[in-house]
Amino acid sequence: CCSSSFEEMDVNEKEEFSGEKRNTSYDSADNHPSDWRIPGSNPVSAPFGSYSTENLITASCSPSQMMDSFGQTLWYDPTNLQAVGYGGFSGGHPSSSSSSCFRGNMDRSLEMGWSMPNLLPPKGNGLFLPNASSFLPPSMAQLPADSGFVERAARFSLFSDMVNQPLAKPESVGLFLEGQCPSTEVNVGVAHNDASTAMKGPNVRSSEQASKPNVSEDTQSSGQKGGETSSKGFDSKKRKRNRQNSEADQSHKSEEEAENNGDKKRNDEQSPNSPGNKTNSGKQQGKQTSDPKDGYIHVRARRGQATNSHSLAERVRREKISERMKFLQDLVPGCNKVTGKAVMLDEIINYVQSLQRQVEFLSMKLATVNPQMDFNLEALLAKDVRELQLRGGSSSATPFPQNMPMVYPPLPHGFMQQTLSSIGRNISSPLSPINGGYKRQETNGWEGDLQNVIHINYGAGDVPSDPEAATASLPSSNMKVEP
Amino acid sequence: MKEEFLKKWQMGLQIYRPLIDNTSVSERRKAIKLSADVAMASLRKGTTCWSRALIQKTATEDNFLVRQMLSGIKAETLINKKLPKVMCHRKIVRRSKKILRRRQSRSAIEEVAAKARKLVKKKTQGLRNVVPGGEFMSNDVLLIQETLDYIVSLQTQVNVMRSIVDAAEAGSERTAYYLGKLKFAIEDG
Repeated sequence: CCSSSFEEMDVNEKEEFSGEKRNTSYDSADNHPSDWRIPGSNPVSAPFGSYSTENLITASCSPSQMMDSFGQTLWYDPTNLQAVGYGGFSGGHPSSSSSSCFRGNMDRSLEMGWSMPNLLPPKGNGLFLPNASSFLPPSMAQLPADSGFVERAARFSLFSDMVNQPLAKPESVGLFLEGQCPSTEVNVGVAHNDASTAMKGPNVRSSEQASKPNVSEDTQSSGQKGGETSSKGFDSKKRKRNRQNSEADQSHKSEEEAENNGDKKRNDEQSPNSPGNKTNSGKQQGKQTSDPKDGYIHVRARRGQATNSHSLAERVRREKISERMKFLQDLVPGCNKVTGKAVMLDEIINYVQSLQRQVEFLSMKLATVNPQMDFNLEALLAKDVRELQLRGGSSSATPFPQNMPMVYPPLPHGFMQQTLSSIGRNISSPLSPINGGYKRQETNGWEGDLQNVIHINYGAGDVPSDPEAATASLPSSNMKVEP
Repeated sequence: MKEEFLKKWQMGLQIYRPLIDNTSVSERRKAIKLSADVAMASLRKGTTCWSRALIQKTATEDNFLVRQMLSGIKAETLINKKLPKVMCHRKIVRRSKKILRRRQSRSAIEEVAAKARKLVKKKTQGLRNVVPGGEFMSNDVLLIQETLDYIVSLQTQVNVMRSIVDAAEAGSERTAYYLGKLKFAIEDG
């Protein structure tokens, strides 16, 4: 059953995170936000229990926490692949629902990655792979690239890894990240040929330690050209996605690719800068792979594409950027319909600005509502919970305080409109997971805004019934607010 | 992650509590926002560029707060580290590129592509302005990565703050009532 899930995941890969999957996840997520809360950790950890380190398990056990923080954000299936890259988690989830939790894992793993002591500092590249089992294939041509590429490729290698060796013990990805330079233009050895890696497991692992400093892009081009005719046939197959056809194929291919890679590797070692130096004849196998410590990414040219080193680097860079833009698409609400970098960047900018404005606004509100700022953590949290419960249940009208009619007219209509519009759609969605019951009662996000606005002005015009200190300050704030 | 943020934020606010005399709303708002920002950035423990930039920015305004909130040696290194000077280089490079580009061919397709690229560059520049420390991110990939993380942190921050605001408000029965009253009044005109 593990392998079958991997198959599915590979298919997903092939489809390149096709849009429809995304949309379906979107819809389902919209209708059932609570589904995300389901401890998706179960499907995550179950197939890979033996595989994951304890860190992973702890991470996977807290997706619900993560989901809370992400509220309305919609995660979907393709992201789990990234999660593999980032968190060293297992391959994919066939189902979209679990993928949403998986995404939570991804972010969890992001944080884990940052906080885990045994991981290497990313040195400017924020994300890296904790405890992912990724071992690098025999050398490919190298390219300057970012660590994100490492993660992605490591992810792919991970897949093949698991296809063939589901119980392979995880190798710390830190291996090949060690070589990362502080600069962002880092060349990182990456698993590109998954099948070959899988088959050549032990060999590859041992040979990972070969060191290869500072091979420039030229090696990659040389490797490409060196691209002995036999390799041409492999180019199309060397696409990361077209892996996993059949084991037989893999075994067959892997050997040849090993040879090719071995050639390239030797090419790189011998003559980093001479394009003309190829050794087609290399029948040697299990040559030194790209060194993880190296910090180089090996990328192969696709069939029918320019093998110029610059264009290859460009392509890699573009791919990375577009991959990350996809994640941003998930993150920013309403961005899934938008295509094109410029428009999406626009949306992202707007979203970030709106979030920042929200923070300002909320801090202002907090300043007015709670002038003493004596936040009592337990009290507040308890009140929060209580508030949620109460909101879910109550609908009764209390005796209306006398001063309300007096206070209301001064409330500028324009202010409220502006408040509503500025907060906009962001209010309702973040509110919903926090105030579960709340949403039931007030289905309109606008009402939430109203509530916020009202309480700015009214505080508690009535007798505060809560014992907490926060409300004790409300009457004073009320005094302050009333004109 | 929300809980951690909340705890750190509380810690920051505790620092301000003795200064309860800042009676002006703006002072309090600033205190709240600063402590929230530093809390958010400290959660990342200096691994992301934007968090470092944010901490350094607030350190200029309130060194004490930053030192208190970040524990350990990290605080010192973060505060004292100089911001990279990549920003200057970018402008120079861009200007020289512009000069070089004057002489290139002008086919229709190329022009369109060039315009698209220009637009994207403009937008990325806009993004750099918004994301803290964006100017110092030397490549687009890093920028987008940082943006991702920054957005996530912002969302957390907003969620926590909003829930606190909700919690700090009056009881729920009044809420429903007020809402109804207000909505009714507004609709009436």
